[in-house]
Amino acid sequence: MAEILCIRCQGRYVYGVTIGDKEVRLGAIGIDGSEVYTIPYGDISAIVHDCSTKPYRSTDDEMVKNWVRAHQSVLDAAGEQLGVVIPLGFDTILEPRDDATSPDQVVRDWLKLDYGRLREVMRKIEGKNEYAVQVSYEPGLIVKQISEQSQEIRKIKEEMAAKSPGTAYMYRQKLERAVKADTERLADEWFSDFYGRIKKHTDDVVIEKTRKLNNGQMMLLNLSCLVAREKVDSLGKELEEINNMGGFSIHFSGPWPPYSFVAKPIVTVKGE
Amino acid sequence: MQPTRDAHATLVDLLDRVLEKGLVLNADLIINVAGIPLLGVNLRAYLAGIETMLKYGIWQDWDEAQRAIAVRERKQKREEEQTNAPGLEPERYLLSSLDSKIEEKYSCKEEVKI
Repeated sequence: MAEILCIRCQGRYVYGVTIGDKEVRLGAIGIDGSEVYTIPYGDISAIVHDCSTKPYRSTDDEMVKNWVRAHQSVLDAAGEQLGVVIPLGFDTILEPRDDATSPDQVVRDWLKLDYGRLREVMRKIEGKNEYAVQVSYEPGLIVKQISEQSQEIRKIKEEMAAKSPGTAYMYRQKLERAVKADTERLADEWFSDFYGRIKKHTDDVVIEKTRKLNNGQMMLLNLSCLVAREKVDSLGKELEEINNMGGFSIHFSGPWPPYSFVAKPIVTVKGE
Repeated sequence: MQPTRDAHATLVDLLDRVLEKGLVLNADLIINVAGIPLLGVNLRAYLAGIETMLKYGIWQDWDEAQRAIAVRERKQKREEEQTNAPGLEPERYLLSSLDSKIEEKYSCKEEVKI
């Protein structure tokens, strides 16, 4: 029952905000093939399509994924054709508060209201894109490395070998604790090291929650990075070096619109 | 190393961003923002949950309540950031949340095979 019938078309689904003072038609590239166009206010424009005032919802996750892909491809197209784009999240729909206001007017009212903030966000993200960087490691490898290097663990293992099964059990627990402590220490060291090395190629970084991976690897860090176009290559080289250390796998995706860097209110930089 | 936008390899990155991030509008104008936690891999479960609630007719209230909470949290966060953040160097601001992230990350890592 996910068919979207736009009977009165009183809603405006907003994909993002871009630069430009003219209405531009981007074609039927939107969600479910909707016609996408811009509504300008001053020198900025909202990228929208007309819809009913019912939010998009479906029990079919393939359909939701297609909507999300369409949302993204509109932002890609807008970025290519129009320049800097502030991305909005999925399913942001504006509707008129009363019959006297047209849906387009509501969009213009919003642009007017948030004009200062939107220009500030644009200034921050101009010429930059978001990249996702995830570094994972093989848990077996870290344990092997620790077992070989740690004097304490080697000692426990030697002692354990000479004990009866009952006593060995206690040693085994001791061993697990020692390995766990060392694993955490090493993972923290890696985290700080990689974080610092990656951060210096970025303009801003958000530390994301690590995810559970289904390939047996452990995710060590998950970052959203705001990167200037000219710095993407140097970030790629840094990641290559981390990759070359062996034992780590790196996921590097992008360019994305700066989703992770537009939600926060702009904090005035010192000296401004 | 080159970044990828391969549709299959980056689906989770895409869902994480489009469903949970992006610019937040002024609350007075919003009729809907999917500010309710929508996790890419659990879309089906989440959406099925909504269906059930709609069936029992509690969606309206729940939706209103969720939205009110989201708006309040955003407002609170905004105020906090405005009052706290300028006093901190950007670097420290990030690192202060780093400790808890690390703790969170490794606290669940109980199984170590030897």
